[in-house]
Amino acid sequence: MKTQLSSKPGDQIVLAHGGGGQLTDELLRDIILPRLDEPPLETMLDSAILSPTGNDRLALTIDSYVVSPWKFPGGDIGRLAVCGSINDLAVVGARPVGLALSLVLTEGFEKSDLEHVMDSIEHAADEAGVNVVTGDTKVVGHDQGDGILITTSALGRISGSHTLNPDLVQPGDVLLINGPVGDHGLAVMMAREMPRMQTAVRSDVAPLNGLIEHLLDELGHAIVFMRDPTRSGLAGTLADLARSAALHIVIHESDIPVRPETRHAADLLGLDVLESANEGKFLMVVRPHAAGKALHLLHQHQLGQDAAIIGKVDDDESLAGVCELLTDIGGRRVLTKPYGEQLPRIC
Amino acid sequence: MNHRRIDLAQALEQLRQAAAALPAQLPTAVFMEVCGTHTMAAFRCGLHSLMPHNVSLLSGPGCPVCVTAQGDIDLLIELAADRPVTLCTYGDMMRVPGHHGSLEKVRGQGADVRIVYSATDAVRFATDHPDKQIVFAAIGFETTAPATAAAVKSAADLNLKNFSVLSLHKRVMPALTALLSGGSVKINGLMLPGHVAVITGWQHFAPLVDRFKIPCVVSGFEPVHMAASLATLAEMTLEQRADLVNLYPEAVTAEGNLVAQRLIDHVFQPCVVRWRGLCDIPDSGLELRPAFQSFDAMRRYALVRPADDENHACICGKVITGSAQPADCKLFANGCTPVHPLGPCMVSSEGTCAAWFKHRRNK
Amino acid sequence: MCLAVPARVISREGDTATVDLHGNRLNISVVLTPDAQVGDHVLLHAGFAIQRLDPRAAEQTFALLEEIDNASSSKPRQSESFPGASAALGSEGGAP
Repeated sequence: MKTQLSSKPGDQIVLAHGGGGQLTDELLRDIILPRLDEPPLETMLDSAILSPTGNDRLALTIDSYVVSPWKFPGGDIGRLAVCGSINDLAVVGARPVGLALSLVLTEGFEKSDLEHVMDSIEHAADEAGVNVVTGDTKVVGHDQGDGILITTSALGRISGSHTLNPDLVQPGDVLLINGPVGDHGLAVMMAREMPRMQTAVRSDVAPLNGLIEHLLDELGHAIVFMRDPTRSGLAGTLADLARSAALHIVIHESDIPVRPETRHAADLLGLDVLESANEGKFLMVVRPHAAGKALHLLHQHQLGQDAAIIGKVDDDESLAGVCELLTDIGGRRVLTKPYGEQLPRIC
Repeated sequence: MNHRRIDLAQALEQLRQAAAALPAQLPTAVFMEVCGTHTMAAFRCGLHSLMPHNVSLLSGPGCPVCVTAQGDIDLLIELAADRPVTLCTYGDMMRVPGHHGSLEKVRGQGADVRIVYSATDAVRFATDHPDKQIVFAAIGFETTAPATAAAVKSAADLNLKNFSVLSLHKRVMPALTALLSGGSVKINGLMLPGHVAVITGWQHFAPLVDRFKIPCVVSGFEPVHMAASLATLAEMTLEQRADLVNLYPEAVTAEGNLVAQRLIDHVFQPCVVRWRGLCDIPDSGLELRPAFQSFDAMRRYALVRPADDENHACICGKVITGSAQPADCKLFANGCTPVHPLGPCMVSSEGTCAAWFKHRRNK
Repeated sequence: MCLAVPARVISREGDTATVDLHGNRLNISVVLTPDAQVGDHVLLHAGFAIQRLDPRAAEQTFALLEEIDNASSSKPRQSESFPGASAALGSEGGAP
């Protein structure tokens, strides 16, 4: 089979365009966004905040799940599909109202596997306290798909006037993460690339809305921004935040929680835990006076037991827009958004 | 031979003291590491930000991706795109740009390209799929060559008919010798690749000291290893003493891994190879011996190596030999970025240009 | 190049062995280290053990790694009475 070599590099989609990194940003900027000229898209938050008439604002989000393999240590595509969209609502301060679920199955997919996925969806929805209120199912030919693809859209409601936005971030603000990073990305990578390996790494996929709602109730306006570091990892989220807030952020590497088994698995494959996806974590930016209380509240919750303060927003204008990592050995390096596809390496 | 417990703070302090005492005639002590993993490890821990101002650490031709000639990359792409094969490769090679596209791009166009963690995975795939033709892209230095040799030997023992190897393996010593003989690179000391030395042994590098009178340290990859190596290089520079010191004794011995060396010798023989930026260096590559030529993908597919056609503005060759810095390249951050790389130095996350782009551009 | 990590041999089956990397278990080739035994620490590269690590010197390497592991896994959670915030506001790291 002769593959037609493209004479113009860059005129076709590659896997990395879906990686959530710099290449995804490019695709959005060059092709997708220019054709969709709508205000909520400009801010590019995790969910769109709509302002219909009435007291509450609505939030709407949509995500597709194409993870391969569909099942991995710690979870599966069903759990991921529910939690991913619920978490996108939660980090903009919205409580979920309902979930829409679209399944695209490939001919030949085992019914027992579908049952497994639906069980996971049911359990995750229960955990999150949300209902799947509408859905659709399609089947495509066996060479047109990869087993199962899921799209979920979640609608949420934001009460009150609290806004979470990078514009509100100020020098002095403190950054927290609710637990160890890098688990999901590595669990999936190993399930896919090294299926014969018995790994101790498990995906952290979990619904965060209960925890976040509690924090918002207790801390109110002291929380200025939240984001879940999914594809492109904590590094990508921090690099984005520094850029959108146009401020200098300093993160302390030794304060970022990482599980030893995750760190060692990353070392084995030559990957960086900071560039590995998370599906049960969120970054929170709070006013300094509330940092201690935020940590206390996190520690009391099952999904925040290993929470930590990882850094602060600085006032150095010469480094505005840059997120620096103060390394374990006291050195400094700049955190940048990864390219978009994590590749294991041997060199 | 030093075998003392290395402490990071002590090593950094020693480095600072040695640097402070360096004579005025030597405004900057220039050391070179020749291992992409060293480049990566140094930037990850922010080592450069902790080094004294008058000590500089260059990245030499130690990133196998960076030193692979473009013509060789094009061979891999041609195999994957034009021949009915499954190309198995380490992840490192996926994004390297050839003349037209990369392995990543041809995979996107339907070529069967698979990332493997180990050469044995490629052999296993061939055993499990007798209907497919598997080609393994063998890159790396002496650290990785034994794995390929073991894979070829195992394929031979299994009498596999559907497995072959495209060997792009290279040897570090001939390149270092060519680099230092060339005279264009003025360095005060070498940080030698610890994992290559695991295989070759440290004695293998002794001729560098004897012939070029240059301080050399065999270094591990933890921050403390690298700091201690820099401190030792700085001290030897100060004392005007050229010696070879092994600071990775837990893994590196004088004679190295003899089993691995014998296996390399059993399967491969040295050959001339094109190093990007260093041109052709005799005995610096490894090709399959006649006894194993049935596993040579070059023969099996009658491949002809295309001429190199590198972008003339790209100075990757000078960058990896330390004769230029990334910022000296007209294309750096100006058409050549990690997202859209033009040369291997920007593709490889270990490449000097990519590392500069990520970590040093703002300073 | 090249990426290699230490791992502990937990079982040996002829030319292959099972190694442990802090809870991750992997089957690798030991053809390059035929003397590797259960309990040894080996240096792992691309699915092959390329060296048995010297037990005395392995202590040196592993002490390094255990420090990092202990630091990340069992260090006390940050105190909630706000020194976490002062740590974030305080040190600026080493300067040359």
